[in-house]
Amino acid sequence: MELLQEAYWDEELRERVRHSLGLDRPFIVQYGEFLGRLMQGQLGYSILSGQRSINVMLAKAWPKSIQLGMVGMFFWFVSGTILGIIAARFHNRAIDYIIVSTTVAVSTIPTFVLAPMLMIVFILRLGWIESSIGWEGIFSQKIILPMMLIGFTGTAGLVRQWRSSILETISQDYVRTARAKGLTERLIIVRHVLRNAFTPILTITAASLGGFITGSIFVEQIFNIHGFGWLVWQGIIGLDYPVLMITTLFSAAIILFMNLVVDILYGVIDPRVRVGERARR
Amino acid sequence: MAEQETQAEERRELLNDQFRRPERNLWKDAFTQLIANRLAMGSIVVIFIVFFIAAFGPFLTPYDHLYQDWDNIAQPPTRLHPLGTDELGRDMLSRILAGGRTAIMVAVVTTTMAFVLGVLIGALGAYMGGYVDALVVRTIDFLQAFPHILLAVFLAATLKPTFIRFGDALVQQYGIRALGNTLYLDYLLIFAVLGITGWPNLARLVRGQVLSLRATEYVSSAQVVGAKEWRIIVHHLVPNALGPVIVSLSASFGGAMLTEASLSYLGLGIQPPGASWGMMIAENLVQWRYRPHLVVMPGMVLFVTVLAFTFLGDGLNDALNPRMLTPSGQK
Repeated sequence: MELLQEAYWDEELRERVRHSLGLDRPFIVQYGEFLGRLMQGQLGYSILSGQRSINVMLAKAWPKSIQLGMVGMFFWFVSGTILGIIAARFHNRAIDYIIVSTTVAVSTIPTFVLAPMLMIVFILRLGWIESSIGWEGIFSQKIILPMMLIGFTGTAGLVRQWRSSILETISQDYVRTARAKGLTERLIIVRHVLRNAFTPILTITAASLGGFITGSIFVEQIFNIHGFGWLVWQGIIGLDYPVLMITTLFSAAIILFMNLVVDILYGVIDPRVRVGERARR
Repeated sequence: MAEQETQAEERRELLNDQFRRPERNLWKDAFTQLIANRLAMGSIVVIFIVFFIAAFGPFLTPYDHLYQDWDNIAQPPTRLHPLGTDELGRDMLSRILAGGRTAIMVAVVTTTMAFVLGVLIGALGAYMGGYVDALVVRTIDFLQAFPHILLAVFLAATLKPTFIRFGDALVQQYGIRALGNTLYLDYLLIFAVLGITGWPNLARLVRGQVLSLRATEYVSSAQVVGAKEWRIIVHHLVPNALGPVIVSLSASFGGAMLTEASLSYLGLGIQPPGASWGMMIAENLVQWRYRPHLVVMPGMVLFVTVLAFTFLGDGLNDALNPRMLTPSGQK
């Protein structure tokens, strides 16, 4: 924050601002205070937007981002799962190659390139959607493009994971047993293969989360959705250090938390991972 | 008797000649596989073109990428300007070529930095063990807990004023006018940021490789035979760890380009009037409705380049990772 003192102010004003921001105290004291306030849930104040509390800013921004993220993850999961199953079903055939390389290609496009391209295609050329700028809740047609954009960033990873883990599961003995019992193909896939192939999918869900968060920065900036990513964007263009610091910390915290959730879910889904129980017995 | 023996010998040699298989090793195998992979070969061609553009691009076009043609502002592609001009009348083709130079330079420098730092730190952790290793692993964990781009953005935003001050101080102290051009500082800033964020992946990889390779039987037997430590490193550890490292380098090359473009897009990287694909997209995004080609062209170039590195990385991974192959040779 010291770095913001670039302007040519007179000494007295400078001292007063430094004092009000707490910059005249030693570094270690400032850091201690920052940590102390963080512990109490006080996230500090934005420099740029007239000393607004970051708590309030986050509270306002969060709901939109959560909704957008949920919808995006839903799209990600559904499209990735369907494509992954198809790719595994027709593995090493043309459909498989097309699906895998197309999803890799689409996932490689940075969000800020894909967004204008989709807008040009769907809004300018095809005219299917009127305008996507702004936020009108998740049941408006404005959500379609942001949802696709957030979802697309991780589709390739999901498709690959589904494909390889289904192929691995299908060669297991119990699947052969199920076939021998004469179960229908659909029942085998749904009940025996998908459930067992699901564990690695959890890993990739946790791993994709960072992508969703960074994706939301670009998506929310382009579509002018005032959520978490937009807050980061505002922090960047204004060099609003308190906001940047909190948002960065916050996203790391979310990722760590989600990793914990996934670790717990492993045990729920796959009984083989429950290490503790075996030790207790 | 003797005659029979020589006959048998001859026959054996004939057989050997007939069924002798070409000499094979990992690198030759990998090379043949890579050649057979059409996607990877196409990517190599694209990458060569991009490198060529980066090296000679500015000599290929009649315009400087900063020259403003006031008679032809925001034109669609014409004969004068093959890819059109932007809203300041600058030739898009020249700017895209100049942007390629930026992208390649950033990718080369930062990947080299990530390579050196990653290998050194990773190997250091694996070799020293104990506290050093714990410190290395914790640092990697810490840096990887943040979303990659968000960490880069945070670092760029916090380091930027420091770099500007540094530049000012240099100019004032030494009076070298050239250093006053902040474009150099933008590059330095990006190098620093990507240097910091780039190495943890590779360090983790190298550390894991060294740890697992040191536990293999052939390393233990080399130790038992009395091979010196450097001999084990040079003959066993390096060749075996090289494959995954090369794959990871190819991926991080594309990743560095992407991060540079993202930072420049967000206004934290290369500043106008410098040329960077990410920044060109950001500049022209406001007019996507009226002049879509200004957004599409740098976007497509960025996309194709990064895609080439991704496919090359995939091809290298298939080629250099023999364990990926199932007995039938199918993946």
